[in-house]
Amino acid sequence: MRKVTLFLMVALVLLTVCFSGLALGKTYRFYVISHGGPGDPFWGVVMKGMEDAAAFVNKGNPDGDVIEATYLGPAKYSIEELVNMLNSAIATKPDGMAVTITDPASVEGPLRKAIEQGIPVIAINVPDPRPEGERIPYLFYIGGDEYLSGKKAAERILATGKPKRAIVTIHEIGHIGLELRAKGFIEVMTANGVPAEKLATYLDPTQAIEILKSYFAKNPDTDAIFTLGSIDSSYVLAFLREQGLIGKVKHAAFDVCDEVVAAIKEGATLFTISQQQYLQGYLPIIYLYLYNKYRFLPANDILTGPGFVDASNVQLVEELVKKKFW
Amino acid sequence: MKVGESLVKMVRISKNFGRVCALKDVDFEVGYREIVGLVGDNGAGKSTLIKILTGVFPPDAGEIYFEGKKVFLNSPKEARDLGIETVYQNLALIELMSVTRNMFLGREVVNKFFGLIPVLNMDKMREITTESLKDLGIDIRSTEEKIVNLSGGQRQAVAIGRAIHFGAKLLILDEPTAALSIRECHKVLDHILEAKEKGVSVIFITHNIYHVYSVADRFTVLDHGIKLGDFRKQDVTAEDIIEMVRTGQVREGICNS
Amino acid sequence: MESRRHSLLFAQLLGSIQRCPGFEALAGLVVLFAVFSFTATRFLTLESLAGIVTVASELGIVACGVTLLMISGEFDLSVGSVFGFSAMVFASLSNVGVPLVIGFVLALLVAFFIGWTNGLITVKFHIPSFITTLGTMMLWRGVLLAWTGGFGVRFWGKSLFLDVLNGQFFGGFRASALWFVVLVAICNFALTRTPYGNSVYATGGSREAARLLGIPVDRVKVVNFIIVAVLSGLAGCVQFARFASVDPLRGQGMELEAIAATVVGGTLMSGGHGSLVGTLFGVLLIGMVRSGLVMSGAPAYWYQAFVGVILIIAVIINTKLREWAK
Repeated sequence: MRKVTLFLMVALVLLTVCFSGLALGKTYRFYVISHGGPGDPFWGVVMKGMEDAAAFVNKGNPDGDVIEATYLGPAKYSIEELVNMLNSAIATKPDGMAVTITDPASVEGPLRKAIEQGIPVIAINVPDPRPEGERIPYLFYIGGDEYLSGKKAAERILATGKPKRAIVTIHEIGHIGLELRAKGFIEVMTANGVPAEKLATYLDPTQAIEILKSYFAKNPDTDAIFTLGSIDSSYVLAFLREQGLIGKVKHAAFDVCDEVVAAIKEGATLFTISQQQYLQGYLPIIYLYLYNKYRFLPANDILTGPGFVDASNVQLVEELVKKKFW
Repeated sequence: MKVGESLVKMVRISKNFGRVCALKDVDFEVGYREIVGLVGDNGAGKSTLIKILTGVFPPDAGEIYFEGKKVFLNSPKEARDLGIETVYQNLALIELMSVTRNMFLGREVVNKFFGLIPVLNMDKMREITTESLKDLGIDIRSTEEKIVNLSGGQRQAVAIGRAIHFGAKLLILDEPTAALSIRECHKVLDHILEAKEKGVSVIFITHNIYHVYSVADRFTVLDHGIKLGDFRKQDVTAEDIIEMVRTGQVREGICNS
Repeated sequence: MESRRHSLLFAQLLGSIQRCPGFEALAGLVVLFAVFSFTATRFLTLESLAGIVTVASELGIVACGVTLLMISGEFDLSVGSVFGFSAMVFASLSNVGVPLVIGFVLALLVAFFIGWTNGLITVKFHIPSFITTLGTMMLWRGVLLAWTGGFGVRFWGKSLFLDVLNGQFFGGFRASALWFVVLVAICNFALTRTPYGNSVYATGGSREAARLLGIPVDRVKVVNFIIVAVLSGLAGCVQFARFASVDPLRGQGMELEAIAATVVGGTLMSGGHGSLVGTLFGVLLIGMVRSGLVMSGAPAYWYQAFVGVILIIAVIINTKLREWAK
């Protein structure tokens, strides 16, 4: 029994030594912290962007600089976990952080404190919507414009013909980014005389398909669906296939993943909007490094989206999705 | 039967569970300072009779008299309040708690904090426990010992000691010697005699006729819900009783009181 | 001569440590602390410890109730939903101008009611509490989502009451830590020094035996369900005071963490044995694991795996030590 306990303790020590790592030369520690994590392929691309940027800077670096970049995100959407991780990260006094401002009120306290302590902070993926002066004083924002994306999506669908009824599926209610996309979309649709509403479909595919079935049973004239992420694109496509509605119901998606790319090729999906989240992981690392070393600072936010993937560029994107660039 | 009133008198008790007749017109008496062995094969109705006497459920018919007064027992607590204590096999003590806490469970000695909040007076309880167990000749290493660490015999002793300490008038023991070593059995039987010395009557339920025979004054034999009879120790041998339980019949020549 | 006295003193010290309730959890905590102080950057700073304690306190307030309930032989899976629901009641009322103290009391009353129904359903219908509270967990979370439409509530004002609940004082430590310690002290006292506590141990140790001895086991259980619900509601309000915002997903998943902390602290899932002090250590351990992993740069994909492994190791160390102590 003593031996087993000893073995376990040694194992524990080894595990932790494994990722504490050793580094020589000037090391920069950066954290990328978001409200989403390992469970969502979307964030997998952000993580790759972060890792690639760090590797790019580290490889053959003339000054021997090393970037240690760590990605933090809860397995399931949780503001509490985001804030707790944020606090822990700030306590290590990193050389820079890239944070999603998913719930400004919650992250405000810790971030203001971090900024006061001199830690450079870049907002990614979701900005603080308040005007400058009021908002959290991060350096700048790298990410998509949600509201604009929603509007442009509606415009593009209308360009192909006015639908009778449109819905937006939302898989994480209360998530400010998703709500803004939906808002842009519904506003433009309504302004053009198309009844449009939000449909809460959550994360579980089985449950979502049931919700969709009920909605379509009540509103059989629905002929346009805008999905806001890979998770809902996936089950909506499954639903449309199941019900034989491919081609009858126009589908526009958000975010890029294997399924949606295949659907665009097939013609089942008109287009998908990409916020090119690879850049949301890549660019912050580069900018934080440049800021730390030379104090370079862009004068404005960097909009990585809306970008569009449709029949015209889907071939190329397909290749890149497999390599986790899109 | 003894001269004078009995401690417990159950008259024409009947109980049915659905279509099963558990007890039919059973009369049962226990006198003061008397040890009665309640015997019978499985399904005879012993536990049902005892559960009625301890307030677990009411009889369908019949009356119960305690100390000469008619009583209606609506809960185990009421029976306990009257002075009827039961030591159930495996259900008398809480294993993970100490001897002291078990001793005073439900009857804790408290000080009132600010006159309102009851606070356990652990020192007093430990003191009383140590003394009363010693008084009864029960040898436990420490009153803080958890019941799970005590032997079967010691557990029975604690349960019996508790009943006697709190002034039980009637002690009901359900299979007290089951699964005990020989030496422990005898200790428990000694405790039972001690209880009688202290003025407590005992109902001893068991399958081990030899054990109960060594301490009891009288025996009541049940069979399939009816009473075969009451027998004084001087009128029967242990073998006689065993035969009655086995065959369900009273042999010719045995004096049924 | 000297060494003999020393070894005697040491044995005495060891003996009194052993007799401390929850000492097994303390051992796990100390081991982890030692490990993290090597692998985590700036782990031994006040800020880092404050972060750990903050996370631990909110979870801990809930865990106090969970411990009492578990000792009496039952489980409550709805604590996370009550946490979020109460917090939302408090936040919503505050936002429409109801004085904060009143909103707080009403939020706790709501929690009281939920706990009461949990208890009544479990004892009156003889349904395993695991199932009852699984149902109410989903029920109240669902009601919360429906009521809020998915949107969170922000509170932009400043308030003395909120500061009392969870304001900051030196070094980043918060008032929630004080509340937690006070509650542990009160609950511990109630458990070990009152007749109520005796009946809790008895009810959990052997429900039948306790009942036959006249203990009102049903009432004891209902009381504990009420306590755990009110404490969960309290914790939710305390968290709201920290973030100044609530969303309908708050508290999700907390039930399992609270149960884990309780079990790591030495309380038996089968009931009848446990201590609040152990839960205190268990909760600190969980807070430390989360923080320590972030500060050690644990890669996001492996984060959850590491948390799981460390928890299992902690419980094993815990169990082995208890056996060794016997």
